[in-house]
Amino acid sequence: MVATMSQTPQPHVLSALVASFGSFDAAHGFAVNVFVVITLAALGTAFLTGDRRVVRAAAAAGIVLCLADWVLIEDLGFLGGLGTDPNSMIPVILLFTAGYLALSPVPAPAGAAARDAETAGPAAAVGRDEAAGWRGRLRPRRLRESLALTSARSVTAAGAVALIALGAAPMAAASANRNADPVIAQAISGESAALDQPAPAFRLTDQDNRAVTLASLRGKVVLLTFLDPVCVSDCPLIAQEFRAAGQLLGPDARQVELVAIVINPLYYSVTYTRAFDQQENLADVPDWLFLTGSPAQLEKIWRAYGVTGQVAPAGAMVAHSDIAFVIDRSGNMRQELDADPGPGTASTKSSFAVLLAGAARHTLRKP
Amino acid sequence: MLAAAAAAACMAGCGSAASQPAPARPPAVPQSLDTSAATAGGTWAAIVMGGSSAQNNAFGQLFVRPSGTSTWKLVTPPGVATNGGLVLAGPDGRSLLAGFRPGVDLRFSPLTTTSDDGTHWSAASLIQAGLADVPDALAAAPGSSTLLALAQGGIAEESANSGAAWTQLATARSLAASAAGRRCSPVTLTAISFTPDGTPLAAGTCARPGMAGIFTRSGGTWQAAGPVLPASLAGQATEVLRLTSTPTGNAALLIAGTGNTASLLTAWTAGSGTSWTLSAPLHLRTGTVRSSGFGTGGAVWVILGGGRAAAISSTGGTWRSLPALPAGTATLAFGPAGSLDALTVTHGVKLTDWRLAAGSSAWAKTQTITVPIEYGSSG
Repeated sequence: MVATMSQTPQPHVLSALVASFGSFDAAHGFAVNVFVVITLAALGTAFLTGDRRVVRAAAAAGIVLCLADWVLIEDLGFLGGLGTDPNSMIPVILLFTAGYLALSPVPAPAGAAARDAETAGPAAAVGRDEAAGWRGRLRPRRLRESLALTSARSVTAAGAVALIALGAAPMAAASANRNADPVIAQAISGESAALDQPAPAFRLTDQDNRAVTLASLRGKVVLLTFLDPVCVSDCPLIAQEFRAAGQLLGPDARQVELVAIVINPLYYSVTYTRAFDQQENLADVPDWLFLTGSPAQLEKIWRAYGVTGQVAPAGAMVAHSDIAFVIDRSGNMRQELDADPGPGTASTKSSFAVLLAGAARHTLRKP
Repeated sequence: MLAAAAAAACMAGCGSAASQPAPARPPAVPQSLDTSAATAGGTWAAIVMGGSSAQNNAFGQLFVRPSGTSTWKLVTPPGVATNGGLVLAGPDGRSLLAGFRPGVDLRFSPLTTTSDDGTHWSAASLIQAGLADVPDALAAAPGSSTLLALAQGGIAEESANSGAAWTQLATARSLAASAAGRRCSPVTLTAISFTPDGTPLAAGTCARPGMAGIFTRSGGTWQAAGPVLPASLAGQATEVLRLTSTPTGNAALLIAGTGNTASLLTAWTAGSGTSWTLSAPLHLRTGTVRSSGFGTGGAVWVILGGGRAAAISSTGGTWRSLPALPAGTATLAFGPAGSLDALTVTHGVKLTDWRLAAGSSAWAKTQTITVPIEYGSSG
């Protein structure tokens, strides 16, 4: 995932750095984790000593660790972070700083300087502003005093809040944006696989009891997946992603067919495909087909497409593949995508929909 | 001044007859889906096992002890996740109709049937609105393809063709607005069943005190059919917790009152009549009924708060307190020769059967089943 983050839009230097660390972490992940754990334990022990010099060193080391994490693992959150806490190291830096400052008394100003400042008066201060030239005019006394009076604690805290907001904003925008970056989906399910082979034929029944064959869909790009009509988790999400992909295609949707085939060996009748469509508001989606057939027909098609649907014991739902195929207008499979919907948040759903629509559009443009 | 006082007294007296204060809405007693049903053909038990329902790791399980055997076997119907629990209808010998309650992102209720003690199951039809979260949300008319369902939202529905199509029969509001519902003023529907001759029954919580809200449907209209409570409970609002059909009539479990004043009663009726026999009340110290179930002939067991349990063996019988239940008891089940089984759940996956023989005062462990729960399978 670290390596995948490096693919989000960001300066090349940073992208290369994150990608390198990602490769290192992939190869030596255990060692990285052990290092971090030992380092955090040592920092905690150092703070417990209460010794100012030890705590100062520990705070500095902690800040370096947090900065390294923020750059290498969180990918400078507001640039490329994908997690739910893209800038969490910033408040941790604040914690280390606060811990050190709490153990360090604020030094009192030197005696003569303090007395002079108290006795000089406002007129003298204005004079000093004028003497400072354009800098003095640009920084009026009150502003300078405010800045001078602002403590390191306040500045650090304000900076942390700003960075958190800066990093959270893209994630919030993604959740409201139907066109979330497909890299989120790829981070969950990996890259798609390119294919170049004829799609296995089928003859099944749609939710309106009409016979549908793959051949009858020639001339359209087919986005094909396998759904369990009584599924409790993945399939409703995948269905919504397909629906959203159809909407994103706009005018191109007329050249694309959204097709699902039942993958439950026990609950497969048209009654159930219709019930699923009604549950997911798919009944009015044009070019949506939820196909089924006899158990023998379905099992043959599952084998042909390399998918499985296994009945599980003790009240578990049927365990099935989460997969999607892109089939071109001539009936050839061009792409295989892992359709695992992940956490099913608004941003991941929109990301998958963008990925599917992009794959369909790409295949439409191919000769 | 005297005239004004007389006018005020008259108005007060006249007003009291014309405008009764709105009856307080009795709190619904949360019901567990853990239950059992004993028939001449065997005993079925539905129990929620596994882990946290918030993490989608609680799964409804189904067990059966066929008649003539002494051991339970796990027969949870396959193919649908049971995160929402199971509702049973019409155990009739070796046959059973079961409904999967909505759970996680499944919002309708598939139905399934077995005719060989759960060895094999066939997908049946479904209820698009989803079954309500009560143990008596599904009923099958004896010897016919007519079904009743209590759907989410408190809507009673009927199907004349084994669930292929459903029509709305009633809601608490429609019953309250009818002549039949005026005396009770039902606020929620809590159970449905059939009389032995196939007449639909619906039951619920009455806002007005003094009677149990049970209604029969005849000739296209609803009739009030519930028992009137004895004088000692006449001021208590009543909820029908359970309702079932027996070979000879119907049985109902009622709770009258709330909190420290709540009492449980069992009511039985013979044939398709509306004349009920009421048990003596069982005073609930805590007002909590954790689970309940029926046996043959209208026998009833209840698990109460604080580890207490009680049972009535037959029509017109009296409540008897049971010995302290084994830890983790989820449900009881009537057994042969007057015995009673306590089914406990430990560690989420282990079901243990403890038997109380007739006349005994101690539970004896007889069987353990480890259920292969697939944690995390529901996402």
